[in-house]
Amino acid sequence: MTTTRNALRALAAGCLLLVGARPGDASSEPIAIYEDWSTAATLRADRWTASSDPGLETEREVHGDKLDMRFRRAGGTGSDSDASFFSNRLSILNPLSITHLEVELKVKDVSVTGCPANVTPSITRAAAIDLNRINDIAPGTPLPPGDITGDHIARVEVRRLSDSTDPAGMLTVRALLFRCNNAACTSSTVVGAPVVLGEVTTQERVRIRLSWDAAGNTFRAGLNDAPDVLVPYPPAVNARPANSPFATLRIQHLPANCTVTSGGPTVGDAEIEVRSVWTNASAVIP
Amino acid sequence: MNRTLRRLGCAALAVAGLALGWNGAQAAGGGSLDPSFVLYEDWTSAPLMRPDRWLATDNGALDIRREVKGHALVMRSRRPGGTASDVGFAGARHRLVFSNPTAIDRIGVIVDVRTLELSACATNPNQPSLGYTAITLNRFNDGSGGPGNMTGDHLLSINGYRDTRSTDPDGVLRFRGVILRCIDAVCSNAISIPGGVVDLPTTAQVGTRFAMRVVWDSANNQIFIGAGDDPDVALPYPSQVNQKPAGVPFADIRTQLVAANCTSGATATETTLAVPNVYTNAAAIIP
Repeated sequence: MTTTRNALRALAAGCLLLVGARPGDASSEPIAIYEDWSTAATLRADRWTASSDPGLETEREVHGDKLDMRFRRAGGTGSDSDASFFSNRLSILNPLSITHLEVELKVKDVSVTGCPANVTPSITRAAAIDLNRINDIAPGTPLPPGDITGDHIARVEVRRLSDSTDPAGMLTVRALLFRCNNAACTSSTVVGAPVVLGEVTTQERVRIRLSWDAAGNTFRAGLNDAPDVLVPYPPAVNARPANSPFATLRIQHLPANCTVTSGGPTVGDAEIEVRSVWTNASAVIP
Repeated sequence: MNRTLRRLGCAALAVAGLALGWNGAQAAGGGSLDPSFVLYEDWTSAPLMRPDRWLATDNGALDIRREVKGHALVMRSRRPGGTASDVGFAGARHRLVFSNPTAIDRIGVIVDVRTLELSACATNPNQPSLGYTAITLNRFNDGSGGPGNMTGDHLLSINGYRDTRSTDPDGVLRFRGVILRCIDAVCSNAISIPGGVVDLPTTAQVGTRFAMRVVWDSANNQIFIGAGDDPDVALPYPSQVNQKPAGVPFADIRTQLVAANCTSGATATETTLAVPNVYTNAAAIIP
């Protein structure tokens, strides 16, 4: 009897992993559901950590079998140049265990306004998944805790710009890898060029993914069932582990600064619904 | 002459309108605020938070919600305690910050602590879990700090609180007024000044509206604090601690959670605050 029960458990576990496995994964490790919001009525502190930058409306709440996230933020009104960035973040508690991050989500609503007197458009990343695992600074060079200089962040982002000519509700999905050039990553350099993965619309359920092939010096990014695209990097970029590793889902706004006389402030607002989150199986927390 | 009279008349009408707004809020329940408080916000002039009036921050919360709903701002936060030790706590702070703090010398709010859930830890008995709702005004410094440096800033605050050691019936909040001095440039901690704490006799029940207020009486080196319908209480401070403007002036309405760390079981703290009405001195109003 006990043997039968154990065999059934093993079978169930095997099925779970098989269901989660997808072609095109960077690693040979199977992927599995990390979170589907079914085991607790609130965010699980053993799986997640979270933070927000100053903003206006904000949400991270489990409702039924989904997580609702919202972030609304206005730009500065002190000038008509540049923009700053602000995020609402949901991060995996153990980022060093993550080589694959995949999220099924729906952008429920998005709006982003620009400033006619500012050449910089506002950007709203209604959703972005980030994987920060590598740093290009020579091993042994001191880096203070939290200093993100030299870290390389791989990202898949679902974004809309204030000067977009796309139909309302359409967002562009891109993959990119960028290097942080200072401690807070307010300056960065894109490695290679961003790759457009496709377009999505509000109310459409989409799946975005990112995986790290450390041996192949490559990140892979994908949208829905399309094949992964490669985001390679020179081997020297992986000189040491990221100083501030993270695996994060975020809403991020870069509202252009805009004086009141120019029509400011600009505002970015995005609401998303997060369904399942998959990772490599070894990262799953039961 | 006529134009001046008309302008004065319009100004009087505007103030009367604001005062009427206050009277309406009072009639809806929640306690008293004297007519020197005028309506700063009742969430009727826009369906969303107005960036010219507010900015908000949150630190430490896992679950969070901040939204305008039913002519009130609803602020929810939840923070579990750590599970790696039986010492200390994990905290969360959720702040609704006024955009023009240097114009503010008094704040009154009608609030409703809709939920407050606190769990204690049997193996961390010296650390209660707690939650509070507060108004805080930071306007002056004792000379230790400077622009951007909060060392010596003095925080004038009233809070309605409950912790897991309370022997009060379920859902009862108590009130306390405090004057705190920031110990460093970022105010990583603030310690009450001598004589700077007063417990108020007022209590309130979770799930009911009540008023809280803080008034800075700069000329007389004191603050007045009050809750509910009870009379305000004066809390003086030495004149020499008001040497110059605060290094980082601010005014806010906040909730704060402290969840005891616990290895023997999961602790959690959660609160939902509704803020239907906010009042300030007239000069601080942003139309």
